Amino acid sequence: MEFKNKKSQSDILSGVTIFIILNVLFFSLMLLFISQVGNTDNFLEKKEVRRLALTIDQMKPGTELVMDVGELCRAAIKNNFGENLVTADYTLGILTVKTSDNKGNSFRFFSQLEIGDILFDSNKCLLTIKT
Amino acid sequence: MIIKNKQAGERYLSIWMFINWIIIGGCIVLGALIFLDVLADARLAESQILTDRLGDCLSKDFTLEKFNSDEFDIYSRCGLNRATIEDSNFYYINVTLQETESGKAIKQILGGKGTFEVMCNYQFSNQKREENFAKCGRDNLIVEDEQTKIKYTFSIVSASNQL
Repeated sequence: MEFKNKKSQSDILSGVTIFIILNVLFFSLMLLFISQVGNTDNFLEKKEVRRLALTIDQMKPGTELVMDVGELCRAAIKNNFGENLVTADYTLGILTVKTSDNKGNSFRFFSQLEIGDILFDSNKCLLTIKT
Repeated sequence: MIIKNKQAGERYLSIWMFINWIIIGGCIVLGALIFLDVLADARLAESQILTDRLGDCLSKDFTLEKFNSDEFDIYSRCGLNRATIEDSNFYYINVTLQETESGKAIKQILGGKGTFEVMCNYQFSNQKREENFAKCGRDNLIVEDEQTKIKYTFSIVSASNQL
């Protein structure tokens, strides 16, 4: 009878231990997911293309702005992506940001720009915008 | 009693516990994705920028004669891309000019997706933002005619639904 009781107690203990370990593992995974989900390349592209498009639209005509896009460059280097990170379709007013070989993220801007108004300097990682 | 003790350890690792974790995990993942989507929503900022842009360019060197002339083009005047505003189905602009004193309407300029007007009016009149509607910005500006010194009011409404 005593033996049986000891066995059941150890069953409870091991059950509780496994339960706690699994719980810690589960919530650690969830924390890791939450900390990483905002740092994905896709979200970075999405965030940056919006920031750049809104900046373009906020600029008064006749302004020239040089912006540091270091975060995009670091992501592109990590992905071994050497092409133009920021491109624009001036006719349709579409800005595209790419940090890897995927299709990138696009966003429209409503300002009228001419060809060459958005220039990306890959050496200095700077973006020059003229409106 | 013995049977109950044997089941006590299993109680912590039952199928319901795993279902519980799946539900909690699903909620956390869904919550994080919704949160990021909300962060990336630039519609309200965009509509405000468009409203400010229109207000700035229309009030600068304003004369009724120029504004009323057939050659007046709001897109070239404000440096806006006509194709983006008119054809993308993401934007809407509504500029109304009226005499400040009498309230008499003089001219109205409309552009972009007309159905956004209903969405904007609904949100303005109910003073709340609908998640699935285009986001709207509005402004009323009093300008003075550079030649006649008569005061006019611009009512500007613009909307964006670009996600």
